[in-house]
Amino acid sequence: MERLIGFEFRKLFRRPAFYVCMGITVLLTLLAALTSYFFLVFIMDIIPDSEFMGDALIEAGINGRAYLMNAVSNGNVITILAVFIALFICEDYTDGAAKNVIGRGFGRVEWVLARYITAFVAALILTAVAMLSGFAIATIIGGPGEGWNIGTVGLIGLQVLLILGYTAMFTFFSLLVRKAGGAIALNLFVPAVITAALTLADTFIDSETFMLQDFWLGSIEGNYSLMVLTGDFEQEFFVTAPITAVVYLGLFVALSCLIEHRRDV
Amino acid sequence: MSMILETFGLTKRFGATLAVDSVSMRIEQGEIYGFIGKNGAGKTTLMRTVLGLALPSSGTYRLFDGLNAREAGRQIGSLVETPGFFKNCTAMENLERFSRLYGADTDEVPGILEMVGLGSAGSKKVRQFSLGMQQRLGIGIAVIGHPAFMILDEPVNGLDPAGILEIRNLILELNRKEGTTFLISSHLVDELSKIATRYGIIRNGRLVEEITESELLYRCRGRLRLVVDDPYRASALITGQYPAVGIEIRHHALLLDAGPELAPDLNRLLLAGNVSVSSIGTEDASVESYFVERIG
Ligand SMILES: Nc1ncnc2c1ncn2[C@@H]1O[C@H](COP(=O)(O)OP(=O)(O)OP(=O)(O)O)[C@@H](O)[C@H]1O
Ligand SMILES: [Mg+2]
Repeated sequence: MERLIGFEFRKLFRRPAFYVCMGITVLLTLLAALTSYFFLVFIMDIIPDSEFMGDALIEAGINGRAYLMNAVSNGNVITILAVFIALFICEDYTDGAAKNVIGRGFGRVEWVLARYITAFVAALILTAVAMLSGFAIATIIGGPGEGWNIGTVGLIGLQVLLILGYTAMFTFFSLLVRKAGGAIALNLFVPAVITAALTLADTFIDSETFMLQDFWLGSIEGNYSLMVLTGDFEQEFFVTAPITAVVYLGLFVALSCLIEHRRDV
Repeated sequence: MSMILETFGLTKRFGATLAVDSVSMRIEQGEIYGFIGKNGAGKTTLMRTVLGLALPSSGTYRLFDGLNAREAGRQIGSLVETPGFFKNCTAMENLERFSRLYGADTDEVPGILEMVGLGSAGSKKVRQFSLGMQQRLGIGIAVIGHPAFMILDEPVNGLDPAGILEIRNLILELNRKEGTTFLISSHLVDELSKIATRYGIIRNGRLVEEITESELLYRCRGRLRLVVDDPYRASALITGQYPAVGIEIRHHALLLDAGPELAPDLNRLLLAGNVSVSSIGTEDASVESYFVERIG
C-alpha cells in the first residue's frame, strides 16, 4: 500500500497538468476579483457623491473573508477537478500502466484506495491554492474583511468536505468508464442532471419540510454559495450538509472498490 | 523440479465466446514455453488470466508451487499485447516509477535501458517513440526486479531484425544466467523454435498439444524419400541391410530415417534386389509447417 501511494504521488507531483490547474485556479480567482472591482468602480461612477460610499462598497464586496468563503466557486475548483481527476485516473487504463500494477500482484482494492488518497490530496491542494490566492488577492483590494469567528472556520471545513465528496464522485466515474473523454463528460454533466432531476422531483413532492435536494451534493454546494452570499445560514444546514458530504464520500469509495475488485483490467 | 505455473481446467468466457476452454498446462522452472496459436486462439486471454488481469470464468491456476497471488505477482514480469507505460514521461522516468513500485533498485535503470537498446533514448518522451522502441521499453519494464517468471505476448512484435536477435539473446541469457522461466507467445514460429524448450498449441481456446523441443526436432527431422515399384520388397531389403533405420511406407514411397549420404548405397542395394527406383530425395518437414498444420 505504501508503495502504491508513493507511486501515485509521484504520478501526481510530476504531472505538469497539476500545476497548470493550480495556475488556472489562481487566474480565475484574480479575474473574478478584478471583474467585481471594476464593476464596483463603474457603479461608483454613475452614483453621485460616491467618494465615501465607494470604498465601503468595495470593502463589502471584495475582502479576504468573502473571497475565502467563495474561493471554490471563484476559482472553479469543482470544474477543474472534474477534468483533472478524469485525466489522472483514466491514463492508467488508456496507456496500459494498469497492467504493470495489477500484473505484479498489487491488489485492485488497495490500488483504488491509493488513488483515492492521491485524488483527495490533489483536491485539498487545489482548494488550498484557490482559498489562499482568493484571500490574498481580495485582502490587497479591500482588506481582510469583518466577521471572523469560529463559524468562518466551520464554513471553510464544510467547503472542504463538499470538495472531497465531489472528488470521490469524479474518481468513481473515472474508474467506471476508464476513458478520459467519457469520464469528463460524466463528471461535468451528471451532477447537473441530478440537480435538475431532484429539483423537478421536489416540485412534485411539494413538501415544506422534506426536500430531496437537501441530500444531494450539488444542491448543497449551491445552497452553500447562496447562504454565503446572503449571510443567512440555517442551523440545520450545518448538520445535514457535512453528514451528506461524508456519506457521499464513503458511498463512492465503497462503490469504486466494489466495481473494481472483480473487474478485468 | 519446481512448478512455476499449473493451470487446472482454466476457462475464460466473454459472453458466448469461449476464449480459453479448460486449459491445463504446466510450466516447470527453467523452461522456455513457446505458446502457439492462430489469431483469436486465446493466447493473450490465457496470459491475462494467469497474470490476474482477467478473472477466470472457471478453473484455477497455481503459481510457484502455490505461492499467494501477491507474492507470486511480485516475481512475474510481463508484456501482454501492447506495452503499458506513461506516454507523457520519458523512458527513464517510466522505468524509475515502476522500479520504485516494485521495490527494485533504481540504480539498475540505466542498465536496463542499455539492455533493451534504448541507451540513447532514455530522456525522450515515450509519446515520441516508434512502435519498436515502445516494445523495447515494454520489455525493459518487464525485466525490472529480476522476475523469476516472464510472460511475454509476442515480444518481438514490431522489432527490426537486429532487435529480434537482441531480444532472443536477452531471453536466452536471462534463462541461462538467472534461471528465468518464460512463457512466450509468438507467430514467428521459426524464431520461437530457436529458443523454446517446450511448446503448447492452442486452438479455439483448447490446448491441443504439448510437445518438447526434442520431440519436435524428431518429428520435423529430414527423411529420405524413395519412390519404388514394390515398396514392401524394398522395405524388406533395406531392413535386412540396415536394421536400425526406421521405415514408413506411403503408397509407392518409402520414408526412411536416414540422411542423404545413404542414398547411393540404397540405390545399389535396391537395384541389386530387383526393385526399380524412380526417385530419391529428402523430405523436410519444417517446424513452421508442423505448427501451421496443427494450429488449425
Ligand atoms: N475483452 C474481450 N471481450 C470479448 N471478447 C474477447 C475479449 N478479449 C478477447 N476476446 C475474444 O477471445 C478470443 C481469444 O482472444 P485472444 O486475444 O486471447 O487471442 P490471441 O490468441 O491472443 O490472438 P492474437 O494472435 O490475434 O493475439 C477471441 O475470440 C477474442 O475475440
Ligand atoms: Mg494476442
